[in-house]
Order: sequence, then structure tokens, then C-alpha cells
Amino acid sequence: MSTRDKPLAATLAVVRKDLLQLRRDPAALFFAIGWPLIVAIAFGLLFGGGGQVTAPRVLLVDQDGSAQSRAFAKNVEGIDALDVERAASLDVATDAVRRGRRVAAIVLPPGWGASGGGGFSPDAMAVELRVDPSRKAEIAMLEGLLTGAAMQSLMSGGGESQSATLAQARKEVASLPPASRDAYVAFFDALEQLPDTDAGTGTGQGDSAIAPLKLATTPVQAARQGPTNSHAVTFPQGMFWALLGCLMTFATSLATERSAGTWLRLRAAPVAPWRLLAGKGLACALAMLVALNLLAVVGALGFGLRVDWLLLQLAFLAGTACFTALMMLLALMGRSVAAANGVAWAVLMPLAMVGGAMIPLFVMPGWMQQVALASPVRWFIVAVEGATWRGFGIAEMLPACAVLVGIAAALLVLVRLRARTALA
Amino acid sequence: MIRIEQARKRYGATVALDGIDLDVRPGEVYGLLGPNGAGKSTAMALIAGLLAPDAGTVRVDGADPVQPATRARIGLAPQALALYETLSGRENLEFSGRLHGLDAARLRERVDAALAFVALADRQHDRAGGYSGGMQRRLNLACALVHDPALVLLDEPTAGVDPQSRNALFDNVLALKARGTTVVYTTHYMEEVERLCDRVAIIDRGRVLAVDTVDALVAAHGGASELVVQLGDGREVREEVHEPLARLNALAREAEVSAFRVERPRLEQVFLHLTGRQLRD
Repeated sequence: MSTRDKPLAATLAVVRKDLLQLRRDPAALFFAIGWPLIVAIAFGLLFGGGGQVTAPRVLLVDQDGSAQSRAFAKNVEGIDALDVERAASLDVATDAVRRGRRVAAIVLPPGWGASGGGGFSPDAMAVELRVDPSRKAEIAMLEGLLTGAAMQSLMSGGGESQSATLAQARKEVASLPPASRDAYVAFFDALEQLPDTDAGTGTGQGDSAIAPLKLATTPVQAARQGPTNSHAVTFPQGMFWALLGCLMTFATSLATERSAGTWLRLRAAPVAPWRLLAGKGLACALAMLVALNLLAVVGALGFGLRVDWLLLQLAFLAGTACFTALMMLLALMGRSVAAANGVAWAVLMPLAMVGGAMIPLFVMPGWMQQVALASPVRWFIVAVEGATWRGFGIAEMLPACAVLVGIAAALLVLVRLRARTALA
Repeated sequence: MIRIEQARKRYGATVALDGIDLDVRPGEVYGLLGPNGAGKSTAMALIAGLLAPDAGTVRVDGADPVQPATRARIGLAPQALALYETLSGRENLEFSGRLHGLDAARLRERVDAALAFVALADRQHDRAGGYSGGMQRRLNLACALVHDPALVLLDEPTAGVDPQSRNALFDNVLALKARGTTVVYTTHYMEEVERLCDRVAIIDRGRVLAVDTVDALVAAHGGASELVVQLGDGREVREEVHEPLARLNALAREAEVSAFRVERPRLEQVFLHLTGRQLRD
């Protein structure tokens, strides 16, 4: 007989078969991927304000205090699309941005007004924007709004539109008393004689040849001491639900094999039973990793999830090891599908409830956070949050991952003990 | 090929096998005939290495079938269909072949052969869940054959099968026999044993009551044949006789014989004689 002697061949056959079955089971796929996405996206929108786009929250620091800066600040505060507050100091504003509480701090430096800031002077000082660099879309919007505010102040646009605006303005002032009219005409003449210069040096200033505002953008390294938005909380939770969906599917698959009679075929093959179980474990782990990474990509691309991909993979691997081992143990507990289902839910629901899958860990009361330490769900979510908004380094990440791997090892010992009787 | 000596197996208080002895020769189709609960499937599980006996020994080609190397030479078609309904017929066979470690080229060759053997090549890409009962039975058999085993165990292979598929399965068994494959065939249908099996073990309540060819069993335990004669005057004579021709000649001397037939005893009578009860489903 032409056969492969590779010991992994039969195990890989089980992996391939189980993943193929998963792919063709719409309900299982939904609970592995669809439901976690719903949790992550819909709950994030729900907790983030009903899905409506909120105005970017910015702080304004007027270090200049000149008439020009006060006028500009007043215009900025009048922008409906921005949620603007005054900051007591530059440090306070910078810290708020670093902590992710504000998108940016708008800083009008000392001497800004005297330098011609807010006008077209080539010597004008720039308005400094201290920004969280991960929030690119909001920063671009902010730059546009600030430029617009300055333009509005000057009643001007650029190029032909500027000329048209001024021509219209000249018509409108023609009927004014001579003194007033002359003052306006002189002002319009001065505007038309402004040099055609590159007015901006800051990031996102645009290509306009004439711009009334210089912007200088300074990235502020985010301290990440809190979630930047609701999705930063719900995506880690969704990732746990992805683990749970895969776990439930594979935990009952052994019982399904028994009830369908296919377990007999597996047992009749020249394969040690533990290899069959290992095949199911490997298939489960692969399904988990695919689902987790899919969620992470969706979160990063669509919902502003800040991801340290290397650390996130570390969290995923540790979590997958832990929950795959748990799946294998649960699979050995129930001989019927109903029993396996019941046992799995009975074990997983309490772990999920205290582990932060339903209530974010950081809003739990102190005593509950202590209880959560016993749940691998908590450690997984902490590890994922560490690789996202908590901004863990490798040293901070290792304890959570070590706990998950340690739980996995302990569970595998139990799997080995249980398998002796359950797989006979 | 198979030697079982004094094998015993209990499930709690229930004695499934009570010291059975079997000796299956290479290349023969060996029937295990008995009612439900007789111990046939337990005997098959011992031969397949799925169970170890509580006492006694089971050997396949001189080796313990619990060992994977021995199981690699065995193909089992269990009584309950063992198919993945979301996989196609071909995918089911490929999975079975991979479990037995077939490499890619050999797998393709054997899957094609198994599909052709059970006449499912034209439905190979359809999901097994969409097959008829007979087709699923044939696929179940093909899964047992895909690794080209020397010993095939067929546990009630015609359960719930339509007559057409049943005949197809009979042809498959005879084809296996023709190529020299050893087949152990459990059933409670006597006509299947009479049609297919070289030898048959009659098993009941965990014990083997008799083993031999069908003819020898009938001769030994079936009792006398029945001679049925239509006489010229319209009478019918029905008698149990050991020498039908002699009795027919005697009747012909007494009256004109218009027709006659000899009804030989069948396994039903053998089972009745050995157990004192009918073999029922």
C-alpha cells in the first residue's frame, strides 16, 4: 500500500475536513465571524452615540492674546463642526491630546497676531496644531475648517473666486456714505495687491496659492490611557465572541461525530485517538486566528482601532492556545451534542460575564475586577486591549499572555487525563 | 485471516459475547447470521480493533487489531452510515484515504477506483447529504474500500436499502470476493447469507451456535426436505423425506404423478433448530 508515514498526515486530514465543514455551515460561520462583527460594530456605534458622527473635540490655547488672535479664536469657537474648548495652558492641552481625550490642540503662539497671522503676510507665524497622529481623518477635517474660518474672516477665497467676491463687494459698498465707502475700497485694493505667495507650510495646508493661515502640525505621542472611542472597547469584546463562536462549534463537533456515526470511521482508521483530537484542536485554532485577524483588520481599517500588529498576534496566539485547549476539554465532557452544548455554555458564560466580554473591564467595580482575574476571558481582553488602546509594550504584554498560555497548559493536562476514558 | 478464541465482552451486566471462537480464512466471504442483539456488531468491533475483549484473543493476520498497523489492513463499513453530509462523495472518500495515509497520487487513483466500484462517479461532486439511502450505503462501502484493505467488514450493509441498491451491493461483495478480498458480512437476512457467503456462523445471545457452509448447515441442522407431489386425480401429497427420489418413485408406482417439487430446508429451519425460535428482524 502506498501510504504516507508522516505522523501529521491524519491530523492534517482532520484539520482540512473540519475547516471544510465549518466553511459550509452558515450558522457556525455566523457565530464565528458575523456575530462578533455585530458585537464590535453595532455595540460600538450604540455606545458611541447612536451612530451619528460627532464633532471632533479640540482645545484652543491663545498664547498671543492679541486682538487678531482673539478674533480668530472667536471664529474657531463659532465653527459648528467643531467642539472647541479653551485650555488653561499648553501643557494641559497637550496632555489631553496625549491621553486621547481630544483630537488636537490649536495653539496661537505669542506674537502670532503681530506677525500678520490670520492674514496673507509671508512673515506670518503659523498656528500650531498638536495632534493625535492616528486620527488622520479628523485632523484633515480640522485643518480644512480652520483654513475656512480664516478665509471667512477675510471674506475671500482664492484666484478667480476672490476677484469675483471683491467685485461683488465693491458693488455692495457703492451706495455707502463716501467715508465708509472709501475705507472699504482702500481695503479691497489692498487685498487685490497681496502678493501671490505660498502661504502655508503646515501639514495639510493644501495646494492653494493664496491661503490666509499657516498651520504647523506637531504629532503628540498618545499615552493611550483610555480607549479612544467605543470601538476600541467593543472590538476586543467582539474578538472574544469570535473565539467563543469557534470554540462552541468545535466543542460540539466530537459529539456530532459520535451522533452522526462518523466517529466510528475515525476510530477505525489507523490513527491514535489523540491525533484526531489534535486535528480538531488545530482546525479550531486556525479558525480562531482567521476570525480574530479579520476582526482586527476591519477594526483598524474601518473603525479607528489602533493596532500594534506584532503584539496583537502575540495576544491572538496566546488566546487561541488557551481557548483551543478549553475547547478540547469541553469536547471530551459531553457525549451527546446537547450535553456538549450545555457543558460548554455552563462553563463559558460565567467566564465571559466576569471576564469583561459583556461589561468593559475598566468600568467594573474593584471587587469585580478582582474576580475577573480568574477568567481567561479577562486576560485575553486585556492582552488585546494592550495591543490596541492600552499601548502595552512587550514587557506589559507578557504577563497576560503568560497567564493564557499557563491556563492552556493546565487545560491540556486535564485533556490528557480525560481523553483516556472519553476517547476509548 | 481472522482468529478469535474464547472472546468475551460485557457491557455492564449485559453479556455481548460469551466466549466465541471464529476462524475466517483468507479470501472467503464469511457471514455472521443472527438476530438483532445477538453480538454480531460487537464481534465486528473486536475484529476492527475498536474494542478489546474482556477475555480471550482476537488476531487479524496474526496481529492485534487494536494496533494501528493492523487496522490499516482493515476496511469497516459500519451499520450506521458514517458519512459527512456537507462533504461531497469524493471529499468523503478523500478524507478516508487521507486518514489511512494515502499520498496524493495514490489517493486520486484509489478514490476514482472506489467511486467506479460503487457506481457513484457521476455523482461524486454532489454532497453526500443529498444522496438517496442506497447511494449513501454504497458510499459508506466505498469509504471502507478506498485504502484497498485486505479485510473488509460489512456490518448490516443492506439495512434500509432499496432492492436495486441491494443488488448492486451484492454485486460489489461478489466482486470483492473475486479479487481475493476477505469479507466478513453480518446480517439477519438469510437470503443474503445464502447468496453471498462461503461459510456462515450462526450467532445468538453472544454465542456461536454453528459454523459451516450453508449447505452443510442445512444438511446438519435443517431437517428433512419436503416433497410436494401433484397426483393425476387432483390430490396433493406433501411429505418430509430424507430421500425424495425414492419416495417419488414409490408414489409414481401407486398413482399417476402430474407434477412434483422438492423444497429443501433453509437457514430459517437451521436457526429454528439451533435456537428454538424464529430468526426475526
